[in-house]
Amino acid sequence: MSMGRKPKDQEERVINRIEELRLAAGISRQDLADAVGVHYQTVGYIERGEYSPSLVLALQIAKVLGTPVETIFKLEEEKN
Amino acid sequence: MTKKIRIGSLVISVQPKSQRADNDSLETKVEQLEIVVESKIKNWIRNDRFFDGLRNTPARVLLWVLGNLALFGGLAICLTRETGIVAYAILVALTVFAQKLSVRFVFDTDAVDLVDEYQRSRRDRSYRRAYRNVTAAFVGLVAVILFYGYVAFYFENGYVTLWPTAFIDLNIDTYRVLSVLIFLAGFFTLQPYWAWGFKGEPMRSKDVPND
Repeated sequence: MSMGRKPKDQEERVINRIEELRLAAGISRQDLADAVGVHYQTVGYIERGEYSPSLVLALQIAKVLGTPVETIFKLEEEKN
Repeated sequence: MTKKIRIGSLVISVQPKSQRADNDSLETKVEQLEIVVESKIKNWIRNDRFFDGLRNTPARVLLWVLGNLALFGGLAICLTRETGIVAYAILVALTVFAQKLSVRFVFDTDAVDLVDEYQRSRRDRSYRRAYRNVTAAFVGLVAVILFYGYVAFYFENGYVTLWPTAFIDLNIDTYRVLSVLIFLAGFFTLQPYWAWGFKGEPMRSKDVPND
């Protein structure tokens, strides 16, 4: 059994539609960040898929965007 | 004017109503001022754009290079020439402060409204990396000293054994001890900042709004 983390290319990535829904709702990145209590750069990292938010933060974002969380986030299909 | 009422050995000070109101109003003002100042500081740490030039990736690479030059180069100058210790201390302090600005003081506070979950997660990873780096530095230093002992023994005797009786003499004066102390303080303080990584905030003009 192998120990440790999966290689980067095998990690399950979470992709999201935050930017699309945020722009559609006319909310700036700063406004969304203020509403969910994170730094505006963090919203950028989440939007670009560089950071997967905690469940609490994901639910908070969904609440602000007025969309169910499962329509915003989904697992990217494994490449292999 | 405060009046004093004595009942036996008990003395009670009584302030006129108007004076109490003044004191209460002053306390309220001070508390409000504290809240405003604290809020302004927090807002500055979270949303500052003035020092964005220190926060992007190329700037973080430059900070790392300059930090190493300052820390190791300064130590070398202090140890060999025995001069410039004050400048060295100031340079190390400036290097540390620039790093603090670069990562928005994430290593200096645990306040939930200042450090969010992404920063907390990256900070925890930085501490783990820093711990590994410091361990590696210590092991490396001991290995170098050991190697020096073997080499010294070989040059003195023309052969080498498994356990050579080589001695490493360390003559160090207070000036050099102080220089080493500044180096160690800087070295340990900078480890988490170096372990934070080069990836910085996106490069952009500070005049572009946060949206």
